[in-house]
Amino acid sequence: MTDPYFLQSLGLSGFRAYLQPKTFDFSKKRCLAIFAPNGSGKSSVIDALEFMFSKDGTLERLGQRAINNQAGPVALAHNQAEEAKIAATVTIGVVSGKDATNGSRAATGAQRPIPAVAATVNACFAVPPIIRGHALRTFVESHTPEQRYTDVANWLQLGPLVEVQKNIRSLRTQVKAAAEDKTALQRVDTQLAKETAQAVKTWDAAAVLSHANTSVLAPLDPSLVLAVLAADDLAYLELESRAKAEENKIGLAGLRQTRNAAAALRAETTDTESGETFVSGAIPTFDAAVAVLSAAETKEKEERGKAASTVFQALWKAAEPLFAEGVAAPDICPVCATPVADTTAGSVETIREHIAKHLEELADYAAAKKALDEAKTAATKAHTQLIAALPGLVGHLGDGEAALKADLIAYQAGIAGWPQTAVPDSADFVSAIAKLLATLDQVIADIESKQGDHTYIKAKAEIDRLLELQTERNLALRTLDELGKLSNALTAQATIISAEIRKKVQALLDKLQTPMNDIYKLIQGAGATPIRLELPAEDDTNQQRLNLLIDFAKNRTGVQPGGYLSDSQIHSVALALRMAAIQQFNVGAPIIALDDIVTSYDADHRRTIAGLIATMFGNCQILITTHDERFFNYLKDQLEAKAWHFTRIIGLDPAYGPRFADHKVSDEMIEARWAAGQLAANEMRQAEEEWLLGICRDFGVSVRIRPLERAYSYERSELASALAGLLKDAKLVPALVPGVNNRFLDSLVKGEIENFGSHFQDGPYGDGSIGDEKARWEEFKIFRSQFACKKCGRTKFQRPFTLKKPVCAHNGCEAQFEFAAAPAGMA
Amino acid sequence: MEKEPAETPDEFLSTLGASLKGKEGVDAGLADILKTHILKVAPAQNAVAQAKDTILKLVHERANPPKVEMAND
Repeated sequence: MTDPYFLQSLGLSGFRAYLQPKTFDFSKKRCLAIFAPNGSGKSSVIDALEFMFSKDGTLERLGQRAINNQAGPVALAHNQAEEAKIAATVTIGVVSGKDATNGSRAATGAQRPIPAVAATVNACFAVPPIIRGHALRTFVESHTPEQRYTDVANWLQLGPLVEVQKNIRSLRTQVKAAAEDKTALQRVDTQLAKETAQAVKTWDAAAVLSHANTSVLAPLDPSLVLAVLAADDLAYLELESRAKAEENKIGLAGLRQTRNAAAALRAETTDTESGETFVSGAIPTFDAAVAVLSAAETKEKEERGKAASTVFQALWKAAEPLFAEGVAAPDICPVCATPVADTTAGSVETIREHIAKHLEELADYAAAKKALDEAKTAATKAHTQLIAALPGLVGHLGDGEAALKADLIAYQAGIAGWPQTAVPDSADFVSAIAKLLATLDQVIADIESKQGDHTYIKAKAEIDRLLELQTERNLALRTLDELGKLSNALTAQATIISAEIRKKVQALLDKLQTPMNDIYKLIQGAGATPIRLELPAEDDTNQQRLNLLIDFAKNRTGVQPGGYLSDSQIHSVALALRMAAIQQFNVGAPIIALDDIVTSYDADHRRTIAGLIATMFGNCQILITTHDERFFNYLKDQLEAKAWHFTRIIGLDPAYGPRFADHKVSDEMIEARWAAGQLAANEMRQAEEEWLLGICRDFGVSVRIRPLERAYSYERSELASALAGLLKDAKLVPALVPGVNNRFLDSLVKGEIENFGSHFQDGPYGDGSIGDEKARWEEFKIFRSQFACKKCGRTKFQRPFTLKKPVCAHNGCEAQFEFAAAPAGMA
Repeated sequence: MEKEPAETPDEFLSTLGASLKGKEGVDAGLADILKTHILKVAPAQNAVAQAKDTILKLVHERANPPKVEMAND
């Protein structure tokens, strides 16, 4: 199995609150606790982890775009990073066994791709490794059982099974809907209503059969009755045979077509009122057109002869205005200058008449020419119609009319040659057509009087359509039946699948439930009511819900924790569940980041959680940020110093980033602040407290049990009093410190330094100046210097229970503690 | 510390699909469809639509059983 992944380093540069590069080194101590007041940049460290492992290269609270009050990825980078030319990046170093890998992720740009090493580690996180205090309650109180189920199923790596359950539920719904869909049957009914002319609107076997017998078959032959609507019914077989026989003869429709084709060629109709007979059809129309054409040709020819002198048309036209009535006519011919009296006409009047005569002849010719053109057009049109109409009758004529058919074919051939050839004579067959028409009219009238519009062919087609609809309906019924069966089978199989998934999920939940309750009890005490992780009852169709339940009381069993537990208890449920899940399922990368998780807890619970981390998560790499100094101190108190690095942020410099201090405030750090012109009261107070805590622990001082609300608050005054008590019992008296008007421990007890920088003081150091701080610090250093081994000079001590006085902790020394010689100048 | 579940979801679904088909009284055709389309770690995006279409095809086949012998005209 691959060694688990641990972080080796985490670097932030131009990222969130960190402008200047800051690297956290986990190679020597793999766990980290950061204390900082709110708004100092501690959460940026957790943000860096979230960003590094995020799929989309952002933070959950920033989102992807600047909408809905979300700042978007642009807020990943420090606001001065661009100006300071610092690339906004997060880097990680990861180690698995002896294999170390690094990766870097840019926090700016559109892509921000995840480095391979982060993707690899991320794949080991079945459960999100980051727990933020503010989000813990959400899981217990706000999440629906469905959301919770999805979360936990993902932690349990059961995402695909959730998908299976969702898909199978969707499939069941769709198949059930299809099984209940009656559209196909409705379509059959619609068609049935149409086929039966609304006589039968909904399928009813008896009604359909009755319609077929009474409305379709009876008009043809009342003795023809279907016993059932089926293709093998005897009546249907008889109908089929009669329809076939009908097909072999010309039916009513065929007769009508033949009649119409004949009438299209030539028909005579008599007006019943006037008794006048009219002839119509393509043949007489053509004959008439040809006659008109012939007359027009004759006329045109005649008029053309009269107008032979049309060569002088222009002359007559030009002479007409010269010799018009009322106009002074010329005395001489305008062409040859012969005096009018000497011309053949002899006078102007005679010339005027001559011109009028010739112009009239020209007009008659033009009219004849126009009539000829029109006659030609009409004859051509009639010819075309005749050519088109002839095949109609020729095609419909059977063997009984062979002579007429032959005449028509010959006529057709003759007509085709017109106008190059003469129009063939139609008189011979025109009478035959008239006879045919009379016969057809009689036959049609006989048939119509007998059976109306009904024919066996039509009847068979109608019955066949009913048979088709019956087949279609039966298919729809069978389909629905099969769909119903499969829908039921699907429900049964879905139940089996769901039960199997449920079994698997519940088994995994049970695995999670035990460690979760172990953690919960550790936080809340042994008497805490266990939490149950339960799926819905087996018969519940929606199995994708997870209930968190408690048996709060005998009359309140299986209730939601939200309604019965306190804030801190709810917090503990969520914290326990998440931490148990991480421990259970993130074995490939047992990394936990805890961001301000103790805000809901009192002092005792904070201490317990520190203890929990120490005892149950020793195999994990933990990063903690907190603004709770007491919790931070509990952590320092309980966690192994060899595995943990403690640090605190002492300020946020907008132009630099968070300023860190080790948990031990060094003399150099204090002096550096003064050198920078800054007060160091906070650092001094911290240094004094740290020294006091250390020396009290080494000396094994006794402290009183404190009130419950301050159960673990080791305040400086208390520690100083306890140390003074132990020194007094051991008859160890420190030298007085110069400048201090009482024993220095008393000043520690009074806490004279602790309000530096925030209050004006009446006593010494009252104005809180750097000078005051320096004086105070010098006194403290003189006092502290007395706590060194007189023999070896080391400053680490211990006091076994049996001894009254501490001894040097160094194995090679173990000298009994005595105050070192008073420094020079001591009072 | 407890280890990860020994059986992966893929193995689980594969076993489940096989056992479903073998169960008495279970519609084997339908079980096949579920195994092919639904009981998958990474089902197709339109897995449900595909499964439904295949079920409808199965329904159609069952509603129109092939005729054993054709009648002579």
